[in-house]
Amino acid sequence: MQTIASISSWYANNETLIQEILIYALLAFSIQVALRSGIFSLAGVGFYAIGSYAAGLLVKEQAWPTALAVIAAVLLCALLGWALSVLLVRLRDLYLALATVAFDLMVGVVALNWSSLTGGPLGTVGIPISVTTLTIFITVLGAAAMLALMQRGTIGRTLVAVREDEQLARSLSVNVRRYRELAFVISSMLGALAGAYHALLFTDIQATDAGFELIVLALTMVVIGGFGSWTGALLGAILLTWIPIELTSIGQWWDAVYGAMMIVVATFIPGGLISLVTIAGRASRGRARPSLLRRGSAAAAPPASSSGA
Amino acid sequence: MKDARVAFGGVRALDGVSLTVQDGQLLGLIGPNGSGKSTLLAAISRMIDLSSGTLTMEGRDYTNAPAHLANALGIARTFQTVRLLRTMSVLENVMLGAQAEWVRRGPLATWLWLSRARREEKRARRAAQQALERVGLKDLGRRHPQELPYGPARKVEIARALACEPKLLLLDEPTAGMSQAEREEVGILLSELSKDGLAQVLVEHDLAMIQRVCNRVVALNFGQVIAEGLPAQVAADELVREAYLGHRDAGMEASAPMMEIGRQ
Ligand SMILES: Nc1ncnc2c1ncn2[C@@H]1O[C@H](COP(=O)(O)OP(=O)(O)OP(=O)(O)O)[C@@H](O)[C@H]1O
Ligand SMILES: [Mg+2]
Repeated sequence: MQTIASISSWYANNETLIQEILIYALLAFSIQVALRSGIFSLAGVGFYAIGSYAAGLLVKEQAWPTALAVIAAVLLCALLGWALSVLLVRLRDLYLALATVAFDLMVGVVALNWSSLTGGPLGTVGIPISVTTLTIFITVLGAAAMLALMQRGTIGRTLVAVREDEQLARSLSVNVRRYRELAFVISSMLGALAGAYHALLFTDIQATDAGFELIVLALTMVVIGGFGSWTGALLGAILLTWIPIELTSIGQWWDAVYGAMMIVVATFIPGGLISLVTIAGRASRGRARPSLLRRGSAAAAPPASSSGA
Repeated sequence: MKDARVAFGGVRALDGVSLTVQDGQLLGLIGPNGSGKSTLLAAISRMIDLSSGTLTMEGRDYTNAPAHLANALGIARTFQTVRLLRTMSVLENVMLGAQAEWVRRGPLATWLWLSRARREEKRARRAAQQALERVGLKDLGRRHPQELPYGPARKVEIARALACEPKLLLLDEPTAGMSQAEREEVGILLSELSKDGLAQVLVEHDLAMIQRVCNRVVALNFGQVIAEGLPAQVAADELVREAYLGHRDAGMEASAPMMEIGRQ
């Protein structure tokens, strides 16, 4: 009884933190699923914004039931995500990253200026709280399960081939375009889910919510956690939501800590922190071989460097 | 392939090449560096577009089909450089070939079709293991490509292409950099495949190997066919001797420049 009581009081004290972690996990999944497929897209953040307005306004202005509003927001973003992937089909690596960042910033500008819909600089406020932590938790579980399936078996291997060597993949029957579209659409839907839940839980949306800072935050989560697996994205979401709260005392220095973490991980642990867990796990099961570390970092070669030679 | 032309800027990499390969035929493709051999394979496998000419496979025109459909028509290939994925085991690399048929169903089927997916996974694993055995690398499945010496790594690529169960196999200098013993093994393998009815195009600098295994040879120079016929005939041809054998001292046996065709 004692432990249950202490767990529930710990939970009560930290509920907001948990909610934020779950929502950021969805956003981080959105970036990770694209990166793992070799798509350097940060459009998930733009869809976070679109999803938050769509769900928030449908619930607030149209009094739609929550579930319907969330589904509508996600489907809308799936469609827009697909259209964007068709539009950007020829872009790769850095060019794709820049184009999708531009998309995110454009969404912000539209939100700021379309006052009649979004409230412009005043934002959309007073959205009824209409989701529970449990709902979000279940969604994160479901999303994680879908992503786990996507990393395994035929589709898992295929997406790695698409990431590492598109031409080789084509020579083995892979319709590269379809796989990239799939990853793009899934990424858009996950971004939309994160935004929709954020709006419906924290009751207001500002046009500046999904700006450059959120792009950097989401990317940092994925890089620090590790883009090779959804577990990395989850770890990144936990660490980067939780640490800033623990370290409020360092205040303005946070950005510097953040940058330092990013540099250290990118330089020394390119597979992200999750790769340390994986390596440690294998070692403890006695399957460690000297090549593991090397392989870990090979697994983490960023998509931009996929020379495939 | 009929009257195929490919140009890169001003370079006419293929300049009106016509070529037919029959079932069970092992066609040797020779020519000096830069004569258009790799470009020819890239054209047949639809990695690059023809500027004119047509491609047919078993009577079907696929001149404008996307590259992944060329594989679906039964065309598999290896590349001039080692292109194995380092993040996967050797067996998984070969499974990329073995799963090709299933992959054609598209991403949604392979992602969500759970029980069928498990069956396919087992089948692909078995087929990949068989392909590895076929190239004589039975026990290397669990290794990673970067742990393999060059020769076995190249054999893994042949296994990957074979795992697609192709009707036409395109091999771009598969034995470059291999030891003499390994070359002979590959030669025997290719002859066996040919007896099984597989059509093959073999790009190869080693004329002895060509003479040993091929039943027809085409010589290219500057993107044009300069000789065609039985291996002995072509090797004796004046033009070929001039264009090709003249380069012998310039290091024909050395591995050719690492150039990738058609990468964007
Ligand atoms: N992607 C490309 N862009 C521009 N030129 C190219 C490209 N690929 C090949 N070429 C040119 O086309 C010609 C034929 O090249 P190809 O690689 O087909 O020759 P090859 O016979 O395979 O030579 P090697 O024996 O060196 O492999 C060469 O002049 C080459 O420089
Ligand atoms: Mg070549």
